[in-house]
Formats: sequence, C-alpha cells, structure tokens
Amino acid sequence: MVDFWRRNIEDLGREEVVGIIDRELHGLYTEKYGPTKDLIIYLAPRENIREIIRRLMTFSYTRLSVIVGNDERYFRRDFSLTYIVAFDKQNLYIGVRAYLPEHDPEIQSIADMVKAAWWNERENRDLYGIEFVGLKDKRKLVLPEYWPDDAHPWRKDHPYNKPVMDWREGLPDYKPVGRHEDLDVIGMGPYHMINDEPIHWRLYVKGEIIVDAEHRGFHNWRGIEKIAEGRLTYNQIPFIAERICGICGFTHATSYVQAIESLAGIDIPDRARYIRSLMLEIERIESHLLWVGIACHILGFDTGFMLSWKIREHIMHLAEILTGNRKTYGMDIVGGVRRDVLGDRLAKARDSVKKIRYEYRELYNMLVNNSILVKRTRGVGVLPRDTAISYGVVGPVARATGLDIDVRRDHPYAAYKELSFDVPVYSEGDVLAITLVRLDEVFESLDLIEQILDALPGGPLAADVKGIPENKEAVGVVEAPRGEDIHYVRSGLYNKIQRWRVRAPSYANIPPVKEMLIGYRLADAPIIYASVDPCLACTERYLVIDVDTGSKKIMTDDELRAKSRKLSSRIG
Amino acid sequence: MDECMLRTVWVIVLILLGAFMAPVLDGLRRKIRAKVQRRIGPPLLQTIYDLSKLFSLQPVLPFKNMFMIVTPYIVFVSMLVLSAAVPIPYVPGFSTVFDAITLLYALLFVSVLVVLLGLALPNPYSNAGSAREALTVTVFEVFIAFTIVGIAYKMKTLNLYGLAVLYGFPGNYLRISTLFLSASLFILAYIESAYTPFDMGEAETEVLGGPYLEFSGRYYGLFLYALLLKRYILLSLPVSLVLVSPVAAVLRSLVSGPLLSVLVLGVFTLFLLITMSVYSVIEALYPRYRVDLAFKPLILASVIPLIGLVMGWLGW
Amino acid sequence: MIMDLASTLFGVMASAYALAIIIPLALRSNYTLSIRAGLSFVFIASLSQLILSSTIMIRGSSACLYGYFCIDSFSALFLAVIGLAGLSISLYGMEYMEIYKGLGGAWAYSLMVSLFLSSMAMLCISDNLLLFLFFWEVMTLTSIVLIGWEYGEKHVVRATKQYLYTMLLLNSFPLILGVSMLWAGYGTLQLSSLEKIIDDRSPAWLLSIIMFYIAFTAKAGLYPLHFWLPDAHPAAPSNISSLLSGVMIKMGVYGLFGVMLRYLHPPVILYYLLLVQALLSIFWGSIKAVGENHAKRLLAYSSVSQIGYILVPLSLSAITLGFDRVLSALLLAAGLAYLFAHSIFKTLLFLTSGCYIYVYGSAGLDDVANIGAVSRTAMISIIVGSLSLAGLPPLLGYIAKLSIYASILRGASPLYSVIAAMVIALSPLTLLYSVKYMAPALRLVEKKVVRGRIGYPMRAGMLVPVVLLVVFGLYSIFGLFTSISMRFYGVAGNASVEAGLIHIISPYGYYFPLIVFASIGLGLLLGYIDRGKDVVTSRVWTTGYIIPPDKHLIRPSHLYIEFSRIFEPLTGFSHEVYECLVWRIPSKIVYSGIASRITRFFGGLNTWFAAKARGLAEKYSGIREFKLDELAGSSVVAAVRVFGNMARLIIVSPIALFTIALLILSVIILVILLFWWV
Repeated sequence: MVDFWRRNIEDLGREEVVGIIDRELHGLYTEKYGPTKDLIIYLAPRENIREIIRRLMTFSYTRLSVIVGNDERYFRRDFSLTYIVAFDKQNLYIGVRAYLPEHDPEIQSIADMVKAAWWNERENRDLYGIEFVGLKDKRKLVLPEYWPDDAHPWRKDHPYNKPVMDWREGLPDYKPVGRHEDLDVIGMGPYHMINDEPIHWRLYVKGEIIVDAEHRGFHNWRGIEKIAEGRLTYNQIPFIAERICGICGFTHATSYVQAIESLAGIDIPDRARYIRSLMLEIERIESHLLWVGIACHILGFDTGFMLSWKIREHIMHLAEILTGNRKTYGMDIVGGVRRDVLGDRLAKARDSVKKIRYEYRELYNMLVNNSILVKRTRGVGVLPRDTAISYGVVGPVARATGLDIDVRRDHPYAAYKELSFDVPVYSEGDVLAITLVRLDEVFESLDLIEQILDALPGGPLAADVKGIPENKEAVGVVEAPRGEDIHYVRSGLYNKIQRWRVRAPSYANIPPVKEMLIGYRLADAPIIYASVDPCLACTERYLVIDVDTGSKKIMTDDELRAKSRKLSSRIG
Repeated sequence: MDECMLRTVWVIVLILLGAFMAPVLDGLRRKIRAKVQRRIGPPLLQTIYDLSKLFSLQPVLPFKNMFMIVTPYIVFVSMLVLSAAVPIPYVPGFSTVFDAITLLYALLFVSVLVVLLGLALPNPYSNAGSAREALTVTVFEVFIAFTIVGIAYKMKTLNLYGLAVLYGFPGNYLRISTLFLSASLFILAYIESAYTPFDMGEAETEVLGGPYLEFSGRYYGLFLYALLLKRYILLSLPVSLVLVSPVAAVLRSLVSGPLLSVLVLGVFTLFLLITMSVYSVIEALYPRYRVDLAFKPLILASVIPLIGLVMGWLGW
Repeated sequence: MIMDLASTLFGVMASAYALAIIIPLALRSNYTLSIRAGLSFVFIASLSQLILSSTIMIRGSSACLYGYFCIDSFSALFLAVIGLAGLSISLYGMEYMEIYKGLGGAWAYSLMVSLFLSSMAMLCISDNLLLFLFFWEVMTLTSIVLIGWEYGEKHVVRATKQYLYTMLLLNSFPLILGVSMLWAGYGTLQLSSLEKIIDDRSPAWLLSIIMFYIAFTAKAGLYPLHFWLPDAHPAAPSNISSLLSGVMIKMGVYGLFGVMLRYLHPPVILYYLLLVQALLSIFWGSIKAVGENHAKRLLAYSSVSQIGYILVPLSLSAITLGFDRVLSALLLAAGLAYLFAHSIFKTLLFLTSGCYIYVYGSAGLDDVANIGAVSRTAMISIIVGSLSLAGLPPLLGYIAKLSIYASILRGASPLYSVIAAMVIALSPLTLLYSVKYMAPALRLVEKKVVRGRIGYPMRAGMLVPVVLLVVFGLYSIFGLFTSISMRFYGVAGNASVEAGLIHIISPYGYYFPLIVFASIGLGLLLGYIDRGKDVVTSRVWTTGYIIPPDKHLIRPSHLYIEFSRIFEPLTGFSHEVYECLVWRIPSKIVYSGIASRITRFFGGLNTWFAAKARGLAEKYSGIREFKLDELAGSSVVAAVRVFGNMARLIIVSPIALFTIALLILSVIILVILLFWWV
C-alpha cells in the first residue's frame, strides 16, 4: 500500500497544480490533451501507469474516482483503460489512459496500492477480459459465477442482445476466499431483514464478534450501459439514467446530461440550472430522510422510522407539486430541463419547506438527544481516514472521516456556484458521525431550497442544441445524496454514445464496509452496513422502478402524460 | 360449593382471562405505539387475528424432529397453566400454592426451553439470539434477587396469594421501602418482558427473530402466544400487587364473597390496560440496546430494590 | 433387630467389596469379564450399603458396629450418597471401561474402585480419628491412582501430579498434624469421648481445628483451595469423575460438619470464613465454568461452584446454631438436601460427559452434536441432569435450591437477606453453563461418531439417577432431611421446622412441580397428537445463499465469549498466581530438587525389579514376552507386578516420594510433640 504522505496542494489553483503534475509525471507520459476544461487526459505506456497513479496519489485531496475501460478496436485495435483521478480542491479530473493491445490486454494491478481500484479492476476483468497482473482477488464481480470465462459482454463484438447462455444452467456457486477454520460463518443477505436490495455479506464470527467479512453483490446487474450504447439516442438516455435508481435517479440524469453538455460545449439557461439544483436538493432531503428512517428501524427505533418517513411524505408531495411526480421526476434533457416550475406553486413550496423544517427539527432533537441511539452508534464502524482515502470514499461517509469534499462546492455545477451553503464535516469516522453529517445536510438542503425559490431567475428552460460532436469525451459529476456520482461519456457515431460509464457513489462506499465491520459485533453489522447508505441499484446499474411510479410504467406514453397532467391540475 | 370446586372454577376463569387478555394487551400495545408514531395502527384485536392466521398456516420446519414439534406445545401449555397463578387478591387460583420464586423460576424454565431450541438449531441467528437471551436473564437476575429478597423481608411471605392480599394493607403499603419495591416490580415486569430497549434476544433487524427464526405456522403461533402470556403474567405482578391490592384492601371492607372477587378482577383488568398503555409509550421512545451496552443499566437498576431492602431493614 | 440387620448388611457390603477385589484378580486374563465381575460386586456392595443407610435414615436410629464404627442418620446420608453413586458408576463402568481396554489392568481398576468406595464409606462411619485418617489416606491414594489411570496422556500426568502435591500438602500433612495434636493434647482419638473432654481451648485444639479446616476445605474444593479440582476431575475416566465430583468432595463437607462441628466445637468465626469462601466459590466456579469449552472441565468448575451452594446454608446453619436452633436445623436440612441432589445430578452429568467421550471420542463441546440420534437415554439424561443442575422446576435440583432460598429467607436479620440475594443473583450463572453443557448435545447437525450405539449397562447406569431426580422432584423428601438435621442438632419436634419453611414459602410450594409436570405432560400429549403430519421440511434459513451447514452456526465455545471477556482480567491473573504458587514453584523446588533424585533412584530400582521379574518369568514358565497377567501361577511375579504397577502409577510419579517424605516428617513432629507435651 502506498504511503499516504500527502503533499498539501489544497490552496493552489488549477493551473499551478497542472504545472506541478506535468513536472511530476515528466517522462512517464507520452501525450496530454484536455477534451474539456475540467478533464485532462495523459496518455501513457501501460508499464508507467502504476507509477503515475502512485505519484498522483501523493497529493492531498486526490482520489481514484473510477477506472473506465473502453473497447477502441474500431479506431486503433486496442482496449483502453482510463484511470480518472479527482483533484477535489482544484475542480479538476485527471485521466490517465493506457492502451492495451487486443491480443494481449494485460496491465499491472494497482489494487494493492489504491484500494479504490479493487472493484474497478475486477469489473474490467469481467467485462473486457483485461488481465490485471498481481490482482489477488480474481473472483467475478459483476457477472455471475457460472458466466463463461471467455465471453466479455462489454466488447463491441458482443451485441447487447446476444444471449450467452441459459441462466438456468447452473446455480451460483459462490467461492469465498476466506479460510477461517476456527470461525463460524453467518450469511447476511441477499434476503435479510435489513437488505432492501439484494447483497450478500458473509461474516466470519467468533461468537458475535466479526473477525472477517466478505461481500458478494451485483445480483441485479443487467448492463444498462450496454443497452444505452446499443440502441438509445442522446436524449433518451436521461430518462433511462433516471431509472437507474429509485432514490437518487435525478442525480444520474443530471450527471449524464452534464457530461453531454460539457463535451458539446452547451451553456444551459439560468432557470434550468436553478431548477436542476432545486430538484437535486429535494431529492437529497428525501433520500436522507429515508436513510434516517431505515437506520432507526435497524436500531429498533420504529418511532424514529415512522416520523422520519412522515416528513419524507411531505417532501415527496412537494416534488409532486413541482414536477407532477413523487419520484423519478423526468425533468432533465440535454441542454436544460423539460418542464417548468410554475410560479403559483412556489408559494406552496415555501410553506411546505417551512413545515418540513419545523417537523424535521423536532425529529432531529429527538434523535440526537436519544442516549441509547447515540450509544449504539458512537465508536461503531469506525473508518480510519487513511483507509477512507485509499478506498476513495465519497459523500457523507468521506465527510464523516474528516475529508472535506463535496462536489457541489468543489466541482460546481447547476446553480451551486451562486448559492451559499455549509458542508458539515466530522472527523470521528464512526456511524454517529456519518449520521450527523446526513442530519445536518438536511438543514443545509432546506436552506438551499429556500434560496433557490427566492432567486429563481426567469428565461428559457433549455438551450438550443445544435448537435453533439462525434468521438469526444467528458465527465459529468453530481453530488448525489450518497456522494460523488460520476458519469463518463464518450460520444460516438450516428447520434449514439460510444461509451457510457456510470460510477454511482455506493460503488466507492461499499468496498470499505468490509473493513468497517471487522472487530464489531453481529448486532452492529446491520447499522454499519447501512451507514454508507448502500444503494445497490445505482451500484449495479439496474432499472429500479419506484413503487409509486411502478404502476404507471406499463401505461402508454399518452396515458401517462394525461394522467400526470390531471394530477398536476389537481395539485395546482 | 366446596372450596376445591371454587378454586377449580377460579383456575379456569383465570386461564380464560389470561388467554384472552394476553393478545388483547398486545393489540393495545400496538395501537398505542401507533398513536405515538402518529399512525392509525391495527385494530385492537389484530393480534388475535394474527394468531388465528398463524394457526391456519401450513408449517415449514428445517427438520421434522419431535423435539421441535413438542417444545412449542410444552411452552404454550406451561404458560397457559402459569397464567392461572397470577396473584390477584381474593381470587384464589394457583396463586395460593405458588410463591414468587417458583413463578419466576417456572417462567425461566420456559425461557430455557426456548433458548435450548434456539441453540439446538444450526443457525447462527437463532444461536446468537438465544445466547443473548440467556445472558440478559443472567445479568438481570441481580435485580430480581434484590426485589425478591426485599419483598420477602418486608412482607414476610412469598406466597403469591398472600402477597397479593398483604401488599395493599396500609401497614405494608404506606412505607418508603414499599415505594421502592413497587418501582422495582414495575421495572422487573418491563425488562423481563423484553420490551424494546431490552429485546436483544429476538431483535428482528439483527438476528431475525432469534430463537423463533426457524419456526412457522402454528409452531410459531404457539411460541408467540406463549410469549404474550409470559408478558401478561409478568405485567400482572406489579399491577396486582401495587395497584390492585390497596384497592382490594378498601373494597374488602365494603363487600365480600364472590362479588369481591369479581370486582377485584374487574379492577385488575382495568389497571392492566392502563399499565400496558404506559409501557407502550415508554417502549415507543427507545431504540434497542446492544447486549454489552445493556449490562450496565441492568446491573445499575438493582440499586432501586437495594434501597427498598435497606429501608426495609431500617423499618421504614 | 436394627443391629442385626445393620451388621448383616454391613457384612454383605464388606464382603462384596472384598470380592470385588479378589474375583477380578482371578479373572484378570479377560479384561471385559474381569471388569464386569468386579463392578458387579461393587454394585452389590453399593446396594447393600444403600439399604443399610436408608433403613437407618428412615428409622432414625443409629447403630454401632465393632466398637469403632457408628452409623447415625447423618453418616447414613453420606453412606446413601456413596451407595447411589456406586450403583450408577458400577453399572455404567461395565461398558464404559471398554474404552480403556488398551491400558489393561482390569483387576487393578476393580481393586481401586472397591477400595475407593469402601474407604469413603468407612470414613463416614468410623468413630475413631485414627481410623478416619487411615481411610482418608486410602481414599486419597486410590483416587490418585484412578485419576492417573490414563498415565500415557500428558495432561493426565500433570493433573495427577498436581493432585498429589495438593493432597499431600493440604490434606495428608495437616490431617496427620491435626490428629497428632489431638492425641498429644487429649490422649484419645475416640471421637465420642473426645467430644466430652474437648471443652478447654488449648493451643493443640486450635491448631488441630485449623489443620482440619484446611484439609477439609481443600478436599471439598472450596474457593482458594479448589485449583487442583478442575484438572484432576476431568483426567479420570468418566465414571470415576462422577465419584470424585459426586461423592469425594462431599467427604470434605462430612469432615467439616460430621467431625469438626459435631465433635470438636470449633469457633463460630471459622464458619463465617467458610461462608465467605462458599460465596466466592459459587461466583468463581460459575464464572470459570461459563468460559470453559471442555465438557468435563466445565462440570468440574461447576462442582466448585456447587460445593459453595452446599456450604452456604450449612455454614449459616453453624453460625445460627448459637441463637436459633430451629432455623439452624432448617438450614442444615436445606444444605443436606442440596448435597444429596448435587451428588445425584453431578454423578449423572459426569456419566453423560462419558457418553460424549464414548460416542464422539472427545468431550470438547465443539465436537459433540445431536446425541439423540445415537441414544435417546443419553439425551434425556443430559436434559434432566442439566436442568437439575440449573435448579429449574420440576426436578430434584429445583426442590433443593428452593429449600436453600426458603431456609435462608426464613432468617430475620439483614445478613440472611444479603446472603439470599447473593445466592439468588448468582444462580443464573449456573443456568448459563448448564445450557452451554446441554445445548451442543442437542444440536441438529452431523458430527463424526466413533461409536454409534450406547449399550444397556451404560443406559442403566444413567437411568438410575434420572429416575431419582424425577421421582424426588415429584415426591419431596425434604422431611427426611429435616429429621436428620434435627437429630443432628438434637432439636425436638418436626413440626416447628416445617413451619419455618411454611412461613415464607407457600404451604404447598413443594407440590407445585406436579402442576409443571402435568403441563409438560399435556404439552407432550398435544405434541404427540400433532406429530407434525402436515409439516413441510426445508433447508435451514441461510438468508438466500448456500452455506455449509456445519459452519453455519455459532459454536458452543464461542457462545458467551463476550461475557467471559468481562472477567478475563480477573481469571487470567489468578490463573497466573495459581500456576506460580501451586504448580511451578513447588515443582521447581520439590520435583527438580529433591524428588527427581529419589525418582531416579526408584526408577532404577523399578527397572531392576522389572528385570528381575522378567528373569523370574522366563525361569518359571519359559514365556519370553513379559506379560505378567498370564502368569497365573507365580505369586512372586504377581507381587512384583503389583509393585511394578503401583510403582509406575504412584511411586514413579515423583511426588509420591514427597508424600513419604512428608509422612516421615509428620511422624517426627508427632514424636517431638509427644515428648514436649508429656
């Protein structure tokens, strides 16, 4: 593991830092270009990748965000791997790209040095057949165990609708790596009380004390990215992106459209920016309240659960007033938003925010002053700061370990540059700190909504999109309720994207749970696991239809529109 | 009607009362908790509907083992019989032949059967739940010991019927030591019934119901019913000694004979419902303890009966 | 008439014990036959002993035999305890000892068991301190041999050595010293005459009291002197462990009350000390038992705690004697009831731990599972035994425990309330470890089985205590104990003592197990009617993934790990202290210093004897291989063989030499004291 002696570059500007990086990587890379203003890509021979990443990770506030694999054999008979490293204090993403020849797709693993690469490498191994030398954990990550080893679905010669095998051929044969003869095994999930979505934790315990833990997820992985690449146009994707997740869908849609807007150089109108921020904040409150409720439920505090979800009901009603939908707002299109927020509903929204603030403050006091609740969470599931950096955790989990990162402030998008808000940061790294970060953020979000409602500018809703340039790339980032949600997009030919990589925040936050669990008790395991607010649907990039909209899904488009109009008129 | 017949009648009445009140009290608990949580909540008789549903389902068990089939019946029948031993003044059921230690040990015996079953199954969740239950019982016994000894010292008897009658006499009741002992009785009933901060044993979100995890259909129904009966019996201890007994002491001077018993029974039922409502509100306000965190409050709570005992020595 | 019956039964008993020594010697070429013959005679002896003692207990009379042996109802209770244990272990051993076939020496085993049981029986009835001392030493020596039966095992050798050290230092030496003091001081060792002349409080009296106290509490395994027990009891074959825990440690109790309290008028302060020790014993034994993962060690620690339960009411009884004889008798009765109950269920439990070894080849709690599939009797025995141990209704263990609570709560001063609270508060620890002992055997998983079946002798051996526990649970015999205790203290009127119990506990409190039994029976009936006809079986719920069933559980050794951790600093520290004080330092000084040299000498002697014996054997019968058991004719060789065997088992184990040294030392002290006093 790399020694995280980190050079402080927090106060330096973007240009200075790029200069430092150029000097630092001198001789290691062959080419450098900046496709967009916040993404700079260094091309390097594959032998140098490990050294480059090591050097980049010696700066403070850098983290490996995602490793994007790509099949570029139609252009240059190679696979590519892009290691995207975030520089959070400079609003900068550095991509380090290596090309791997088709017949020999092999590269040195960095998972032993940067833990964040652990899942990314396994995923690329599954999907592209890229061999990572030195990767210890060679189990399948996203594909099922019985998937043939020579079929790699992300390669372009593998059509999105090609059946590889009959899924009934074999049952999943999960082989744990842990060999602990003197320990007992507890399976937690996929069907467990606390798992709202399927995940399998295998806990190795001594009595009730957890000695080791293993994770197996991706039971619902369906390859939504491939579907998008295969048959959807640019403007259809926001709607499928929003359906990646039932909780933070709007962040995915926004993230995607931002990537497209960034690569096409589109400036979106102010009103659209503010509406996006508004909806994002509404979604954040809704998600955090959901989490608070579930956390209370896990700790046996059903009153907190009920009250929190009662407040959540108000916020969902607010969303319905503003967009016509309780969830899955369907607002984003490339270049702006699709539907306006009508003026007469803003007053209702203000009242609603006031009511929510009042009720939420009551709930907040009740939770924070509950001694047993504090006892159950204080000092439990501590994530050390070094581990957090190595795993590249994001969002409230990172802020609870003292990492002051927030995409809204560090990589401003939508209207956040013009709004003022605080980023709550705690340093304990335990479940209590994570909880407090989330609880505080709700207040900030309520403030933000009020600011937005006050400052909502007029003007058009969407910019004119002249056309998307071919073969360009960009990243779009949004601070989802769980942290940085990053979409890497590369445009392709014929109005279709060539590669779309979604890295939801839980993808970065779930791997360290393994380390957070060790040493605590079986009783703590559910709350530790829940503390990262695991959103499996995003992580596994699967369509989750929220229960509320589920019935509407089977309607035809017209019916749906008619229905939502009717609902909107009733609310209005 | 001779005394034996009369007692038999009372035993039957008490068993019927227990069998009915146990699920109704649970229904009340659910209703009140729902009110605290600002919900409407299920109807009062929902627990009875739940039980009847459970009894009609086809059971699924991991093993077709006589041990697994017989134990629920033993547990249920024992609890039903014990519910005839609840101490109600002037209602002589089994309480005339039971003493407090015996009652608590009989309840313990039933818990041990459940724990044993939970440990016998090859499932870590039921194992963990059972182990937690056993640990909680062990640690809480300090409290129980002081309470029992305090009451024995103060009232000079442990016979349940005798206690129920004597507790409310002004000479016994209007004392400071009795105040502390009464408080400890209420605490004892709350904690021993495993209401929320202390429901580590069957914590659903942690160990999936603990010992009961592998049971379904009527077997789970029997366990559930037995658990409700246990809570009823435990609740009846403080209700009858602390609340009903002084009322009965007053009533005794007004009426006598079967009418007195019936009146006392009515008062008992009323106080049962009131106490349950208070318990439900308290229950709704707390999350669950972790076992090791619960040790300290469980031990510290024994200060209350200890004070009662010491005051008893001083004659207060 | 009673004398005739008593002397007849005594004769039968003595001759049966003698036959149990002789007959196996004659049959020694056939191991199985020899064991069975020997144990049959032990059975007969135990039976006659039981009849003798129960006759005396029920009639309430006493009988003096041959001038030196007096049986009153107090001694008769101990005789009955020994007899009951003897019945079970002799039946059980007939099959169980097959495990040790490889070690041979069936006749030696019978010899030792017979001597062990008879010496305990005799010391309970001997009226002379010298006889008492003699039988006490025989008991100790035979138990040493029996504990070291598996002399090949390292832990057994260690346990035997430790036992030997302890018994010499804390048993033989103080006892001899104490007896010699009394002889020096009063000129008689006849207990009944000592009682009359012992009223002056001389230094000889005081010193002998202290010496006796040390010896008896060490034998009883009371808290600070218990350290030998958890190693020694599990080392022996299981039926012997039953005797050690079920009976032998009660000899310490007999000594404390049957000898000291009755004849020597010790100061009351000693019994306060005993009370404190007993409470500490309860706590310590329970805590250690909860953390233990080996069935027999768990039971051994449980014995430490249970002896505390026995001694709390007994010591309170001695304390109370000065001012409330009725309460005192009540407390004594409760203590004796618990002693009786403990002897029965601890015998049973050690026998069931023998089942673990017999069936699974190991008594580790992690190695046993689902014993019901092998033997239903074993399963029922385990459940009944453990529930009795935990003191749960409706078995005898509960009745005995309730007697303790009720009798202590009967006392009016705060002292009694505090003691009662402590005893009640500590009792669920017993529950914790008895569940830990019982649950693994009921686990519905597959484990490796060495022997798939348990035969009739073992089942019969276990059924005897099971039946007793159930029957005495249903039909309370507390009245028997009150009559014994009242006769012991010379309190008249049975009713007052019974009334003492009624005062605090329900008048029908002891009959309530009937209600529990009835409800259990009804439950069983309903379960039998149900029989699970429509039950669908499916796999154990593993939350959706297939996990190997033998791993998917919390193993017994990890069950209360967090609870044991709380006390880890305490137990760990004191373990170190014991290791140092009791084992390491003495073994450094005694073993490597003095004993090893003598050992070398005796080892050489033994080799010489063995060589001689081989020579003799070759000379007399021409058999080349040295198999002494086959040389029926040569009495010389047999003697050498006996000596060799004993030497190997006792004398070569170096500490025996230390015994001899100490014996010589004490004789010297005795002579000096004699001169000094006279």
